[in-house]
Amino acid sequence: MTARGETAGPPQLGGVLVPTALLATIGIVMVYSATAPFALGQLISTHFVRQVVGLAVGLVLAAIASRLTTEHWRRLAFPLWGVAVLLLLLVPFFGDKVNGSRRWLTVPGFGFQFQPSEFARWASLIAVTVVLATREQVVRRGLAPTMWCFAIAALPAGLIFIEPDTGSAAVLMGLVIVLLFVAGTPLPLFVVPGGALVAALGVAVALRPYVVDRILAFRDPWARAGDEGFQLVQSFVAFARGGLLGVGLGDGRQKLYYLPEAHTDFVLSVLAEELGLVGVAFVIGAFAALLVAGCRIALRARDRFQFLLAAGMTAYLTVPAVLNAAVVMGMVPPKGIAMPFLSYGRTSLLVSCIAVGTLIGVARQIGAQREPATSGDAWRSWKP
Amino acid sequence: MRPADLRPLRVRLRIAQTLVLAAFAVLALRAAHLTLLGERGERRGESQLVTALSLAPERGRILDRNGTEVAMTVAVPSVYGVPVEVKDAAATAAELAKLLGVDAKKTRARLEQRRAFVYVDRWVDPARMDAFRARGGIPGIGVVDEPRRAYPFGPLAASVVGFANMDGVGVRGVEQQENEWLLGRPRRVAVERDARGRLLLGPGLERNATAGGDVALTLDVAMQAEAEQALLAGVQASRARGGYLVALDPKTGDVLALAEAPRFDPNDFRRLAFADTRARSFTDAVEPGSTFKTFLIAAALDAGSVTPTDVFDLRGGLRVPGKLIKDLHPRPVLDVSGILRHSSNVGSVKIAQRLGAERHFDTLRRFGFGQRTGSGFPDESSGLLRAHQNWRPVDAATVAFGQGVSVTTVQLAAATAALGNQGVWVRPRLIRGHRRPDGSWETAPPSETRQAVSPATAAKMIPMMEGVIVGEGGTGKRAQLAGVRVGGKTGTAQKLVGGRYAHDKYVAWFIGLAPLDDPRIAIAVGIDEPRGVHTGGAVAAPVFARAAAAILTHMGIATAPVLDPNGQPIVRVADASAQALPPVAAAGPAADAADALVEDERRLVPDLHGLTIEEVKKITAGVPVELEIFGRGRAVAQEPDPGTVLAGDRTRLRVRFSGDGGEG
Repeated sequence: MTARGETAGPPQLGGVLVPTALLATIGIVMVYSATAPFALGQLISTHFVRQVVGLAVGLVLAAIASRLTTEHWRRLAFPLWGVAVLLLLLVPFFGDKVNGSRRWLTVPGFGFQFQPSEFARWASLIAVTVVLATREQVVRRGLAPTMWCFAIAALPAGLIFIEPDTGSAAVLMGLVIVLLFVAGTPLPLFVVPGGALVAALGVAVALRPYVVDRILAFRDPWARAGDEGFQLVQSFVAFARGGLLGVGLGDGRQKLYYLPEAHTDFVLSVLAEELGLVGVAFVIGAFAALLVAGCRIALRARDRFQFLLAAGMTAYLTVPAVLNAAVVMGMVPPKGIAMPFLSYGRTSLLVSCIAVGTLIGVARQIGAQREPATSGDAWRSWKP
Repeated sequence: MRPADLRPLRVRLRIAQTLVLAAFAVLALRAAHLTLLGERGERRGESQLVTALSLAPERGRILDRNGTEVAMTVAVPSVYGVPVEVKDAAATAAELAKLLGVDAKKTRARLEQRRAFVYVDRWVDPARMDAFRARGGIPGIGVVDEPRRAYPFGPLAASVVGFANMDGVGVRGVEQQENEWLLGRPRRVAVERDARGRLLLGPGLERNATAGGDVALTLDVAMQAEAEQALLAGVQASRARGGYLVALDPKTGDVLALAEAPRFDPNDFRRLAFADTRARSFTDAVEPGSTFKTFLIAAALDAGSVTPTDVFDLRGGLRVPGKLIKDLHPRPVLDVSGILRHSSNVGSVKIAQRLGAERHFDTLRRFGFGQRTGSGFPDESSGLLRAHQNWRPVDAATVAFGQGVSVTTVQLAAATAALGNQGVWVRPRLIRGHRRPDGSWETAPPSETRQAVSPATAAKMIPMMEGVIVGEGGTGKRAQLAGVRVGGKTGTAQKLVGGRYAHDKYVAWFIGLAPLDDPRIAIAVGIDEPRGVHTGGAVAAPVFARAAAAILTHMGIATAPVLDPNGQPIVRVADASAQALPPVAAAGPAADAADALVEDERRLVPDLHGLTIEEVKKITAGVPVELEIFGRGRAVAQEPDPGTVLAGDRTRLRVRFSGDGGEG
């Protein structure tokens, strides 16, 4: 390996931590603001308290995740994936039915609702990382490992699809494809998962006619502002009301039941109304910074595993943000994807924290492996 | 591990990173476009958020003369849905159908509308509301309090108070008469609301600024209750179709009590026939019968045509062109007092002939007959008193004993009151004062007055009217009160049915004053179609005695009826008995109205929801509406809404029926 510029510097944890801290803080504030209408007459918003508790627990889990080594992840990957699949299997039987679909499991005794699909998304990425890292020769050779990875993703994705949660299933598949791409999979091989994805979308549309409605609404929400386009139009209204600087934190009107899912999928709209273009740009900038920092860690990785783990976690944190923002701004069909750190939802928050912790863990390992040299200058010129 | 392997991967990662960064850049541009150039969104936001609201949320209350609330506005819960938050409409609708008794299919359809706000059920019953609240929250379903008019006394004084319809507009009684005051000045204000339609109250919105004012009636609920008990007991005892009673303060014209039978509960206005909710004492003109002799004699005394002691020869009756006037219990000779006491038709006609039509007519007009009292009460009838120029000799004769004229109970009471007020007629009034939204009172100005007869004439009438009660052969013995002097006059009018006098249909009248030394009340009582004994002295006088005793007691004058009707202990009439009265036939009011009366063609649209086609046809049979039926099953929708007032004769009532009513 050649130690050129960006691949050789010390892992800068600040690049990950600062955007994460900013996003988590904004997230807590926005959840407080967006759920205020629910909390009328309450001393303090239940949603807010839950989110704060979730963040506290998430920080602990992140700290734990950051201490795990490559070896730990290798050993944990498939058990975690197995647990994720098992939980997903439980959902159709024990899941809480909300609005016609079962997506949540209630932890007995705590009343804590857990969304296995979020966890499965992360666990599948870890498992795929392990496969792609340990069988590198095979990867280069062709189809089989690609299919393996695809199978690892397809099983939970299929279970998520039947919940039904089309958006989450699609994001899971998409993240695995991103990982396959950065793992160096020969491009022709993407025909297979790509074709499968298109086929799956076709099936999805056939099975769920409302998907078509959503797609149509996405193309021209104003034409159907009364029904299918309602969400998007309300989101546009929020952005328009926000303008450059926003109407002021907490002073938004669109969250007053105009915006469906204001506190979850459409929290960015609330932010846009209250903090304006400046706020939205700030959030997008924070995610971009996180992306760059995550990629820098990956680029400094010493082995395939570290590289893929860092890249996978970075994708896990940033790709849903892109998709969520695109949905909220009417650029892709609505899918019901949470915005990491900003959307209300403890499972998403916890797993996002774990992902950040994992990323930091990789960075620490990279730093530790370069530590034998006595000074920074020494390992800066280190060569294998 | 061979680190060199990572080189192609890094290239791939940089490509991916660049792509995602590009996506972020595009998103930022899109955000800029939406926020800075999203005029359409801004307009939409403005239009949906800000409502120009006609603010009239608090209709004023109606109080009795002592401040007791007889009509007020209460907040009643309505259940609404936010369809975008309801995702399993079928299950939610089924649940709501079970809890609230609403139609599951209809509710489901509403919840699937994907609007921001739909009503599930308005004005929910307390019992159902309890069940609904006990069930706990249903996602997307909420409760909002809406104003509803409430009448805490139910049927008490219902015909006077009237009621406001679902839109909060007074359509009967004082609610109609004082509608503008009660509504207040609606103010159009731009307010923000949330998607559920709830208002976001800003600092500029004060409730008082637009609230309606209160109205205080001249009625006293205690006296009103006593009067209604007396009337209902009398109606029940004589198995009559109904009755009217008006008690006035002779000096001020204040209506202290106005009782009518049958009664109705204004809280149920949506299920009532509009005609049944009229205030009969104002709207129904009836022949006054022999009570009219009182005013004839007052006119004759006032004109100097007769003195109380002038004697008339009554033998052989009296023939006027086209009619032979006779008395039921003929007496050979009677003085004027005796003619009143025995209620002699022959004597009355002879007095009338001596008085002359013109003077007779003029005095009757001064007593307020043949014209509206001007109380302002809606739909008041003027009664019928033809101009004397149009009187044939037979008319001049029959008017003397109260045939061929018609009067309202209020007119009769006011005329009687004039005799107890030194001959001064005072316009009856129902409104004692108005309270502005700021709490200050605006007392109603004194009523207009008019000298009907001279004080001397009135003074002469008092002992003559007392003679009717206590004198030898007096017809009004049953109106006697213990320790209080009472004066009055009985009357029994045959009812006109289809332009002819019916043999067996009467209105039994009594008009009276008490105490005679300084009259505090004037009462007119009419009992409509008593069965069995039907004379005013037997049927109406006891009602007068009981009502007068009760009202005087409330004024601090202890008294009691001397002759208890039928010797029965006075029992309070339960509501059930009032409702058990024979129903008013649809043709009734038109039949006994003289030609001055225009039939009231307005109808209140009944609530037909849930009824079968047969039931709907039955209900609307007597109502001049064109019924249009759609579908089969049970009524699920109707137009116009229940409680709407219909006018005119070609009114359409569309009713949509649907589904599983089992009627096919």
